[in-house]
Amino acid sequence: MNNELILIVCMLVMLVCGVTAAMSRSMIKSAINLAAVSVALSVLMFVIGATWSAVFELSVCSGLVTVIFISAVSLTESKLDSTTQRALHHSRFAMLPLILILAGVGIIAAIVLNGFDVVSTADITQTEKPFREVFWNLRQADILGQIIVILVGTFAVVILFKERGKKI
Amino acid sequence: MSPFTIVALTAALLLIFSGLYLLLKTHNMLRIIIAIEIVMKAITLLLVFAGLMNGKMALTQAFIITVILVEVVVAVVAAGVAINLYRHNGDMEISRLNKLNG
Repeated sequence: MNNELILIVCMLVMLVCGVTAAMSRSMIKSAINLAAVSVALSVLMFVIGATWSAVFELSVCSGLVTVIFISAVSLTESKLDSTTQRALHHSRFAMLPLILILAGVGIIAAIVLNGFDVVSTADITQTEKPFREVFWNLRQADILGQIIVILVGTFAVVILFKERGKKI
Repeated sequence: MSPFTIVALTAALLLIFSGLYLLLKTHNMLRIIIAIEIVMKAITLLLVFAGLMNGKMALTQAFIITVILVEVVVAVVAAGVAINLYRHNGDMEISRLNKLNG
């Protein structure tokens, strides 16, 4: 199968699952659809050769984030929706597919009619530096930022879940 | 223009659009996190597309990993806030978030 076809299928899966995640009434279904979006994105990354980010996307986004969502849904299990709430949800999101179809047709028409094009600026003669060298040598500030973000996140979770009356 | 470019741009823009629509329409804290996640996925797709176009995939991967990390920390902290909101109010109504103070 052609690579471009796989990429297009992955993006269509992303779009369909993303819209389903937005529209779904059940939170579990939304979380699973979000995981499907991540899986499609990581397949896309694998196909174009971005293997490191694909591994991160697959393990962290479709694994860890889904577990977090499902845990949060389980911990906040609410009573069954009433008929009024169900009707309200349907009325809120009933128009979304129509709006998206119109927006999609509008975007494609704008791209095709205006002759908008994204020109590749890739220099074939120049060999690209390996990911390891770029990540560890050129983007050291990013690594520092990532460490700080992880520490801030950990601290925030500790603060959020501390028991009342206890000092840390 | 290749069909790949058209599908990539359209899919990313429509995903951003549906995420923003969900953000505007919902009052549920968990749905808001899902909306943010959908928008972040679209941004990641655009980053991948940009890396493919300029041929600097290694640099793009470094950016994508940073985005993924920020996305996860945002999701974890927001889920923690959502659980605390539920414990205080018994629902996920975002308008009652100010009752969490103290």
